[in-house]
This record gives sequence, structure tokens and C-alpha cells, in this order.
Amino acid sequence: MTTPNNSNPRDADRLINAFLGEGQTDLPEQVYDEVRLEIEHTEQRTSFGLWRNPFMNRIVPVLAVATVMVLAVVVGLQLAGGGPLIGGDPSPSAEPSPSTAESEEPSPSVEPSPSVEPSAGPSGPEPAFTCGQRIELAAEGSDFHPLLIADVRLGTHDGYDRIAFEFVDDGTPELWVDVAQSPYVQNPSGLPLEVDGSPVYAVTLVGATKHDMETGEEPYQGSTDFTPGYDQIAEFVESGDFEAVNNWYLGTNGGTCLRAFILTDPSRLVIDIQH
Amino acid sequence: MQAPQQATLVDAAQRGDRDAFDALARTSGDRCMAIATRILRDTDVAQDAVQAALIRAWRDLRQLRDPDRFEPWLHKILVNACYAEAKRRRRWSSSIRMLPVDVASNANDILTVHDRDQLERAFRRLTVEQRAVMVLHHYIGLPVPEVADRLGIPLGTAKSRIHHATTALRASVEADARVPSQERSA
Repeated sequence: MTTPNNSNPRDADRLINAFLGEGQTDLPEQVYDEVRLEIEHTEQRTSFGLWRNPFMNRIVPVLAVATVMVLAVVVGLQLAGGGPLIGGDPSPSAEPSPSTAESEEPSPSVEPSPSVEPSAGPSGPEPAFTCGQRIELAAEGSDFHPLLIADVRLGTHDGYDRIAFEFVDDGTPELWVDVAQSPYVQNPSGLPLEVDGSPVYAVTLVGATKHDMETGEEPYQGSTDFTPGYDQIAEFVESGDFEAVNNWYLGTNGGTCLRAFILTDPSRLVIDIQH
Repeated sequence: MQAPQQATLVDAAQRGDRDAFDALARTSGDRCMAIATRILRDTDVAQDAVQAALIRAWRDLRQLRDPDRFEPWLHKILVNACYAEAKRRRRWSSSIRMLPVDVASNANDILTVHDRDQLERAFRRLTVEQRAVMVLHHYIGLPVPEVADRLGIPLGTAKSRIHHATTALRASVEADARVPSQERSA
């Protein structure tokens, strides 16, 4: 038999808060001095993208809208001219990405493969693969609010492996795909991360996250470390999700030719690695 | 320091201005020390974690896209530095020193020596990850979704860690509140 005294959960919480309030709160001067000495001969890592500043906040939406308008004109002219389109009825939801010169041109040698990627949208022209080049896609249609990732899917197709990001709302984030150099690290902790395959690519979704901070919603509960055993995708592993920047590493089996483009309805960001 | 001033310093530091970063470090250092000390329960280890975090922050500062988010970004680096220090010093819990320093006066009024001892023991039994969410939520005062965001963990995970840690700490305090009657009469 136990006899309660005057403690209750509220008292316990008060004690816990008082306990956590105890402890040193001043960082000794010597630590500042040591940090200063260390950074004197430590170079900053070069970011492979521009960081946000007030100027960017104003100019990026303008540039993105202008880019989309130019693309719409270019694609419209191609359609009006009866150009050689693969896949029959052209769909505006499967337009190629505007980011690179190579990817603006539809490739007559590559056909969509809807049978393998169940989430693939309507067929249409897809951009050509580019080899050994950085890929960058501008954000589209999201008003630059962070997009919630609804799903991450991998699939293998005839001639390429595919990674598809699907988003809850319309629009797609900015995408960077660049060759990554080891050591591979988590963002922003810098803790090391093992990644299978070579070469390894850093895949960065700027303006996307799995976690909605305001609502706590987290629609994607699937894997964040895929090792599908495909011809080209050795590993696809998330390395960070912070400040609406979602980072992944893509380890390949010698893959050097990639392409990225956007599908809509639902909004999807697609990265293909050529076999 | 006001946010615009901090953003200006971040902007300068991102362009390689070491003096600006030094100023930034001094605006955030004490808070970082408070967090690290409470997570790691050792002042020396906490200093090492803060030092490592500040150096990493300098190195990776160009990855920070929004200068106004410097402190949350730094805190995430700091918590991961705490994890790393805790793992690196596998025997840290056995050689750890108590935290008699800078005891807040109001805490003395609330906590008895026995309370403190019980809570200290219970807190050390928590994982470093559970301690981190407790410190950010209860000491810094962040809402749980923001704790999850800063740590880069799902909201459910943050809630679960807080729940388990709070339950364990409460139990350590409340255990003393339930004294067996036999012991009382003995």
C-alpha cells in the first residue's frame, strides 16, 4: 500500500523545469578564441546554389515566371509547327524542363515508359539525357511556399531507372542535381553518411519538405533509404530535410547520363538515370 | 541582437567575413552552451560540442539560405554535435561530473538536494536524443512541431520522445511521493 504525499504531476513538472533550468549558461572566452583560431584556416564550403537574400526573394519569382513564359512560347511554336513528337497526343502536363539547353529539346530516341512507372503521367515528349552536366530546374507554380512531399517512388524502365517525387499541392520545387564528392554528409549536421555506388549525385529540392511545421502533417511515411538493386540506382538516400531544403544522395552504378523534368496532375518531379 | 542585425552579420559571414562570424558566434554562444550543457550534463563536453558546432557552422554557412534562420540552423548543428560528442565519449556517463555551477536561485527554492539527485539520475538514463527534445521543449520553450523541425525528425517521433522522457522524469520524482506504509511505520 502506498500513501501519496503532496506531490502531483504539476509539482513534478515544476521540479523538472527547475532542474532543466540549472546549469552553466556562459560560454567561456577561450572557446570563442579557439573557434576564431580554427576558422582562420578553415575555408567555407562552396554552396552549389545561391543562398536566399532579400534581392533573390524579389527577383527569383520574376525570373521563374519569365522562364516559364519563354518555355510556353517555345513549346507552343513547336506544337504549332507540327514538329516530330513521340507518344501521340501531346500533353501539356509532360512538357520538358526549361533548365538546360539539352533538356529543352525533346529526344526522338526516347519514349516514355508508362508501363513500368505506375505513377507516370500522360505520355509526351521527354527531354534528352545530358551527360556529365549539372542539372537545374526552376520551381514551378508553388508561389515559393514549401511543398510537402507526398511520395517518393523508384522504378526501372526500359533504358533508364526513374526517381519520382510527388507533391501534395500543385507545383514543383527547385531542383539541383550535381556530382557529389566524398565524404558524403548529412545536412546540416555534417555527420558522415555512407552511400553505395559511384558516381554519387547530390539531389537537392529547394522549397520542399516532408514535414509541415505549421500543421505537423507528414504525408510521406515511406522509406528514406532505397537500395532497389536496379541497373543504375545503387542507393537513393535522404541526407537532410531542413529549412524547406530536402537533400538526397543518389549513388549510381556508373551512371553519367541523367535528365530531370516535371509531370503534372499530380505534380511530380522526375529524375531518370540512363542505363 | 535584433534580427536585421543578425541577418546582416550572416550575410557578411557567408561572404567570408570572419569578424562577422565571430560577432555572430558571440551572440549565440551562451545559448548554445546552455543547450549543450543541459543535453550532455557535463560542462567540458558541452564546450567541445559548442566549439565543434561553431566551426562546422562557419564551414557550412553558405548552405544557410535564409539568414533569419541562423539560430535554428545553428541549434540543429549543435544538437548533432552533442550526439557526436556523446557517442564519441562512450564512457562519459561514468566519468561525468555533476552540475553544481550557476544554479538558479529560484531552482534552489524549488529543488531539494534529493530532488536534484533523483532527477539527475533519471535524466542520465534518457537517451541523448530524448534529452535534446526535452531541453528544446522545456528549457528553450519551443513548441513540439518546431522541436521536430529543428531536429529534422518527424513530429510523431518528437512527441514520443518528449512523452517517454517526461514520463520517466515524473516517475523519478513521484516515486518518492509514494512511500510504502510499512516503511513509514518502521
